[in-house]
Amino acid sequence: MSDREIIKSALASTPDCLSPEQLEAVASSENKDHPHVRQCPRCQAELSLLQSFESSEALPGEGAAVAWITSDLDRRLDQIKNPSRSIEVRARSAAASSWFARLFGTERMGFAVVGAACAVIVVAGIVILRSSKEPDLRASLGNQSEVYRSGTVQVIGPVGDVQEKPKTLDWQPFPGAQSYKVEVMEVDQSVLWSTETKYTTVTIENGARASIVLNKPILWRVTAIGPTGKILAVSSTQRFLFREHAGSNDALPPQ
Amino acid sequence: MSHVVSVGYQVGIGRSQDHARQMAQKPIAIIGCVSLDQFSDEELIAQYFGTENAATRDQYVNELFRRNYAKVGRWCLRFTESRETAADLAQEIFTKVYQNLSSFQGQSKFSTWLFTIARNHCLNNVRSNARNAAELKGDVEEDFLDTVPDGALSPYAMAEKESTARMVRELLNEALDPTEKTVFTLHYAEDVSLATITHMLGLDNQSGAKAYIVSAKRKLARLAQQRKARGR
Repeated sequence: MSDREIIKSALASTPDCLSPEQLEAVASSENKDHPHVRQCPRCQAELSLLQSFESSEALPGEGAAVAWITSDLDRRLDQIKNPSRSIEVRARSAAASSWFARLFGTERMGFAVVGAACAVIVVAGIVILRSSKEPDLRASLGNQSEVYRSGTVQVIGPVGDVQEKPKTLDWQPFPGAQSYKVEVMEVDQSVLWSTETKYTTVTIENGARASIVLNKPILWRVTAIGPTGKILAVSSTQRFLFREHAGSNDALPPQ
Repeated sequence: MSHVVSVGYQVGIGRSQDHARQMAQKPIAIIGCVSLDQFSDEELIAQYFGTENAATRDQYVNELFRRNYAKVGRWCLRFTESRETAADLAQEIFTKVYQNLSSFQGQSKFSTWLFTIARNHCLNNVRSNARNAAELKGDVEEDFLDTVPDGALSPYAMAEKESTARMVRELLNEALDPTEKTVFTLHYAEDVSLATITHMLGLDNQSGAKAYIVSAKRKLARLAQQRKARGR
């Protein structure tokens, strides 16, 4: 039996352990000295967690995030009460937007469209083969204002040299995006961490953050994804470099 | 919150939904505007089940949830790295609460029932995270076994020899301070990673929960040696 297993069994819940209701009674009574709790480290820990949950005391730095979550939950109240309806609405809008599926929905229509496509290909082939004239060169192609291309996600930061390890990645919202895929990469573009979010900011996970070390360039990019899962736009690949900053513990290289 | 609704029912919490409904539907002498602020969480639930009008019912449960957003949000925030993930977790918790509200029997405060759901949901989420499992493995190997002082009798080895979890529980209870007990319980009994525990308990020392494990181990080794010397 390993050390871990022994400790685990010692801290496992026993039949004598108190239920949450009983722990609540202990927590709210003036005399908090319960005979079982006194000798059970697990119940003491559970009591401490319950008291921490009940306490309205915020830890340093928590206040703003809690306020944000509170208002976000208020916005999500309908989804909380109707989780299946919000899924249905998403599914309906995805189905409605699939004009291609509707067009090819019937077998007869499918054959007609395939036949028409074949005819177009044959005609186009004949036209191309009979044409001896070289294609026109379009001077306007050099003019960027006339080049059509898919949009890009505009990145806010971090970009360039940064004096502190960034905690978040931020970008501008992209019209019609339902979610964003974020990738953090090494300079060789191997992905260190990726995640998906519906917001325009994401907190870098601790594991990935640990890879952000002094003077090591890190790349990242954001992909905007539409309601049907289609990629709407991709940001250009961003690069940032964490440079030494006096007094920052984060600047120390990993041990 | 000062939503005002034009209902006036006697409120109370019974041991079943029917009982709650029965209690809630008894009209009281004071009929008129009732501020939702006046209701406890448990009374809001009783009103929710005792009211036929859907819009009014909604007001009760909305108020109940709004009161507890900060509490649940704060709790979830301590299990996650970002407010966005915390909000997602909190949403799932409130959905669970909403779907199971009829099983709330009023045997405890609503907040204790909510705590049970939030605690289990967040711990399950942490455990189901594969990355977390890998971290946990690392924690155990480097934090636990490598830090046993040379020549000291491991309290765990002693406990294993005596084959009794009770003995180890006794040692843990006697040697550890309250924070160390919580860290040990979360890490060893609930399989929560040290990084998550550090964040969850707001441990602001340099090594976070790891330092508590190391210090607790030293205390346990010392106590085990003392007991051995006494021939226990």
